[in-house]
Amino acid sequence: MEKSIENIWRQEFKFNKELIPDSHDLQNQKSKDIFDRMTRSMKKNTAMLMIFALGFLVFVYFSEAPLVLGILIFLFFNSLALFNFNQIEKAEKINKTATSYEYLIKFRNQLNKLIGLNMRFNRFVYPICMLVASIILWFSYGREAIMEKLFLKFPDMVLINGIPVYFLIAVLILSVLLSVFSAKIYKWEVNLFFKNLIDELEEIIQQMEELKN
Amino acid sequence: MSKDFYKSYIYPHLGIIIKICRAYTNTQEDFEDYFQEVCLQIWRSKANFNEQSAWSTWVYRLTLNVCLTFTRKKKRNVTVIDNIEHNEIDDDYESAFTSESFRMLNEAIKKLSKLDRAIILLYLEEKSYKEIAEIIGLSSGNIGTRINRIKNRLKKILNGKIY
Repeated sequence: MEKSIENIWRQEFKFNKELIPDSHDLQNQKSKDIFDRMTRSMKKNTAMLMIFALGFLVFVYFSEAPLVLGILIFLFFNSLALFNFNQIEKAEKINKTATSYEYLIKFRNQLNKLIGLNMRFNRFVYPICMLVASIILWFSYGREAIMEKLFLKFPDMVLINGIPVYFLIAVLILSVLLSVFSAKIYKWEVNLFFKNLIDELEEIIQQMEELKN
Repeated sequence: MSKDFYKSYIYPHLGIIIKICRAYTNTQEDFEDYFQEVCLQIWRSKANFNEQSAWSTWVYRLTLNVCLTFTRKKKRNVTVIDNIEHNEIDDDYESAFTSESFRMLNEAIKKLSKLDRAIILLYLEEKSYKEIAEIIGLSSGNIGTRINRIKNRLKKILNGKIY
């Protein structure tokens, strides 16, 4: 007897349910997915740091700022990037054959460790960035014209090594403030780049804990 | 993926997800890859669902996108690894469908082009021409003609066993 394809499609669909991957597999898949996305995103950010360091070196080369400063910053940021790459690699070596829950917990610990280390580094990184930016600003084009204008307005301006003392005080205060608030700034930075992924990671871990109980 | 999410958002559409994934795969292993990726994408893109279309439409579109993307990737792999034939169908693969007629129909659908497969799958799921056009990204004008052509082709493949 002939049957229409429409009827067969609607009425005769019976599928061996054993062949459908269960939700546990999906859980594993989801864990691997978040793990991959996170490490990829971290690698991308670290690579951006290296590109920034290179760009900075090129910029210093063409500016009037001392080249040694550019080289030092280039080396400094690259060391930081290499350290981060190393930590990411360590995270990638986490045994994925363990249960999803176990390796996500290990990954979260590794991630927290990395964030903690960077937070400590940034206590120095931010003020250094501030100092470097100030030096660049000081050596940048038009410095002499600005100084002339300043002298006209404030003829009794105090200078230390030819640099206005207020400028030095402002740089110092800003550097100290950056150091004091480095943890908050870094947290904001992390949230900016990784908030969604961190939230997803926490959500999966929470769901897995719920399923376990 | 929480059980609640699976139950509420995936389970009601399990049938069509299976049908579409089976129509684009030839082995159980591929099917599992496609199926898991579809579920993953549904979970991942849930936040982007803007409720302008029905959830089922969203699921169809996502499932088709995943299947078409995976099929394209597989095809690329075949050209790279010449000696591996990905189009071979596992002997037991089709036996997952317990109805003989359904199995025959599914095998016939697999002989269609990727796009025709997508259109006929949506048509068989009783989607309107407008919805099919929206999901596939074609104009709704010629969907009807195309469906008739696909049905004739299926009839030919099935050699009159199904009309």
